[in-house]
Amino acid sequence: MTTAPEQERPIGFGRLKRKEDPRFIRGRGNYLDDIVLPGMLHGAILRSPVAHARMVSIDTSEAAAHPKVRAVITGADLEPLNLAWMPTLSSDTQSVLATDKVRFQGQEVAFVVADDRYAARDALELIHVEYDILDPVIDPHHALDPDAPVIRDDLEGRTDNHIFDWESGDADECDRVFAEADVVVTRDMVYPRVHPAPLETCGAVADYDQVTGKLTLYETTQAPHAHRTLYAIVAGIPEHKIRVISPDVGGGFGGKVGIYPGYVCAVVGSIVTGRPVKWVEDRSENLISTAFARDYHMTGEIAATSEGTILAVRTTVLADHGAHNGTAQPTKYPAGFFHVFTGSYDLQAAHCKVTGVYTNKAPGGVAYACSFRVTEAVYLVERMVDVLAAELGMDPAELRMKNLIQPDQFPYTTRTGWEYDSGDYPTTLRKALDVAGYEDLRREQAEKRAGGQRAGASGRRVGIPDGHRRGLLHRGRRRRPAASHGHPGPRHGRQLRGQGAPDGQGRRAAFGADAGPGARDDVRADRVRGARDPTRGHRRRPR
Amino acid sequence: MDVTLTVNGVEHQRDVEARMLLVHFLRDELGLTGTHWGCDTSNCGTCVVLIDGEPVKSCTTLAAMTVGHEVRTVEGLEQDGQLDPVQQGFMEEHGLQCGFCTPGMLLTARALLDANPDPSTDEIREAISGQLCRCTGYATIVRSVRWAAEHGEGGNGAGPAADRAEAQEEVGS
Amino acid sequence: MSEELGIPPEDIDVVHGDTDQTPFGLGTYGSRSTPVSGAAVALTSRKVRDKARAIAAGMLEVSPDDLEWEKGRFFVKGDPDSGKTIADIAMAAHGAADLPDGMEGSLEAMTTYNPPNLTYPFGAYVCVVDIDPTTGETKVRRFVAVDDCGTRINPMIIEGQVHGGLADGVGMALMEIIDFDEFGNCLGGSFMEYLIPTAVEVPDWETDFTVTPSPHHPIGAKGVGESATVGSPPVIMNAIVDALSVYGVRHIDMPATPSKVWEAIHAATADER
Repeated sequence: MTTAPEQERPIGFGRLKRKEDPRFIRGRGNYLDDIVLPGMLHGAILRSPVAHARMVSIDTSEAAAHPKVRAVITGADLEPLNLAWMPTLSSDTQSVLATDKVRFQGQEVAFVVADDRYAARDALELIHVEYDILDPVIDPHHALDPDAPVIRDDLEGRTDNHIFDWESGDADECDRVFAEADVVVTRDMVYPRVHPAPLETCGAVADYDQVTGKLTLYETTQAPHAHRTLYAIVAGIPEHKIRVISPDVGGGFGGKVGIYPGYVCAVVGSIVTGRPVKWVEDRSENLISTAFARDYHMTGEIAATSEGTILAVRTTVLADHGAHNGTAQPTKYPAGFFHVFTGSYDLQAAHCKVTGVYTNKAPGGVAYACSFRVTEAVYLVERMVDVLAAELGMDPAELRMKNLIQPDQFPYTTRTGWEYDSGDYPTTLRKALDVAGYEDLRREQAEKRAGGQRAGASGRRVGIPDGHRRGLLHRGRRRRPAASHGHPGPRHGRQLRGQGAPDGQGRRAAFGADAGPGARDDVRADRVRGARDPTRGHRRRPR
Repeated sequence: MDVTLTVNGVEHQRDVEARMLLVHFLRDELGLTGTHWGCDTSNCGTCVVLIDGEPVKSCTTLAAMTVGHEVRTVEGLEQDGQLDPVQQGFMEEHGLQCGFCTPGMLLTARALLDANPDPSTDEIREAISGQLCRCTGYATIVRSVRWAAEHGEGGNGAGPAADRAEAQEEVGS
Repeated sequence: MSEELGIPPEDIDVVHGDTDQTPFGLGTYGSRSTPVSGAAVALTSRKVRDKARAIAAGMLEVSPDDLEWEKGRFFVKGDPDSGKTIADIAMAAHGAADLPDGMEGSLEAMTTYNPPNLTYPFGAYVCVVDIDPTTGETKVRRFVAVDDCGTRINPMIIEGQVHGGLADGVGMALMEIIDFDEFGNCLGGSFMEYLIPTAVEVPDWETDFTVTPSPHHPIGAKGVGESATVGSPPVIMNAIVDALSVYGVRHIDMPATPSKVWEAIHAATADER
């Protein structure tokens, strides 16, 4: 039985309700798009329809002539002000408005400022851009081919799409351990590109006061002070003359850490028109152009004894960063905290190598609660442990319990230099198994399989580093492998691998005999309860 | 085009473009910013309002289409200073975090409870399945609606007097 | 702060998000709020309390060591009725009448906190899935999450963070992907293609906890905001592979959409024929 929050007492004052809720439940939140300033204008961004192309020409005259348009800004307008490009949080540069080329579908090309949001969108269609389309680099595995088109020819001396190589751990020790291990398993796995997709999209209201020279900037941002510093650097406005305000934010999840071109355009729009300018993106813009997450193509290898003592884990990773290296992370490592991939296990050796490449996609990479690539790291190790369990014919929970770092080993320094502060992993795993009724579940699974059905259960462990800190030194401490004990394979009636052992394929009928839950409707009508809903939306069933 | 809408019991007349969406009419013309806008394909539900008591996505409804109908937004849930039980329930059960999906969820919950005063958790999940929340994972939203179902009798604003007083203070500040 | 100083939460106003009103901070991400700003709040509160003790000692005309602290007030040891509340002390501090020699008025403190280390929350998750092999659809039947974020400040908030992260995991494991075609067209550009779980696609979460305090955090707390997002995708994928192992499937990449699962089953079983 799980413990409900009501049964706990937080420090001091009991279950504490939130002070901000009374506003929100009344619809009195103050989100970015709720902000209205006197004389405020509205901005909209023209975006590239293609992934990779040279910009031959851009004609904004028709848009500028629209009766409700107050300004049209292009990369050519920003260039003399040194605002066409801006620094990223990963020591690269990103285009604010395209000048020479477009490098991903959805890239910002022009900015319109108009009296209202509808007119701003109308005016986008009056801007005419001629593109000379180039071959795009989409598959990161081909980004480093000798004949791959060079995406970042804006960078001096750049002749390929390579961003970085980075490694951590002891490659030689790993070689030795892997060579001598009883069991070695390799698995390719992809952590696909996903998106934090907070329900509130990104936006800004920029209000530059031409008399005082003060810029007041409302932004959907998780880091207002960092933004203030960056704007001071980029726009040349003294920091004390910039006020960045983060109002109520409708979800960030890491997607609202970086500075987006739209924010910069709003600032320029306000400076040019002398009025406040609001820019809010729509959902398509949010998904196509703002910080994606993950896109790590990993090969994992795990070495163990035949009794199930995990000896080492190593991995090589191809990191697809999109067209600019814009990972919004403050660590000094190009792959963030990925080298925490040793997870909760006491290993003899570990090594990782990460290669970052450019592709013709939107920039990003660190977002969606990844804790700076910890999501990727934990996915890798936890999948590999299960892959090993399958190889050994061992229950995955048992395999974990056997290899967890023990409480008396803390503070524990990992093979890649992290010092874990505290932990009692076995107790927590035991509790999860008990709450889940793990043995009963395995029994149910075994019975169903014997009867021709399938069911899947999985237990896992995770240890995550948290908070923001400077990097740590590597430590090369060796540990003697724990004496092996226990046996792999089924016990206590848990017939996990009864039919699924690698060599015993379990020749169950693939069709017919299985009774699963009833198939759902093909197309899920996205509707709220109500018969006469004229706005019934649909979404495609997952392909 | 001249459009006259009844919103939260009050008639409003505006001259707007025929293509103006209801969500923008409410937010930009009437300043009722409790109704939000989160996607362009009617999937997210942050724009949900009640039209004649039924949840409708105002992002794909033209303002002009609602002439002659009753529109109710989240601002219309509180009556005479008394919170609706769904509003109280969401506070009691932590049914919101960032609050962006909350107005739509509240209204759908209200409509559900009007039609089905004692819904099962499955029925609640089904009712809100057309709306997204990225923060809560939905379990506390379900609990919030159940709280409202259980405390709905006895009128609006059921809840500790201290909460009500605090809430009034917050709104006034 | 409430705990350290004995001021009721309703009397505390937290100002955030405005660079004109708040000192420099690097921002909110990476689960750092509790480890970094939470620690700073605790330490700053303790500085305030230490100064309050000195002022109270002056007001009560005793040595600071003769005072005892009971949440919200100092009183003279052995004489509980003699105390001064934090509110009294704050008022006196701004009056500057009875302050100890050399002490400046006001009752405030500032801390710039640089954590000595990251914090390492952890957890153990168990997931049960049922897969319909005729459609490839995966249903998450149960999800058990036991998380350890050290000292738990507000359990309701922690539970909310965990729930949200678990839903992320269902999304990534089953339906979320930003994909591209060979021309670079983005295929995930709307919520019709980029699918996020709804209330009917997630189970009722079963959460519990253990507490292993962080030795270096002032109140032993660790972050938790990203824990469930980190931990949930692999456990769901491991469950799916476990379920499909009877067909000889050894791995499937995220998202395990129905067509992908169906194809994996058929590819694996086709090998048998």
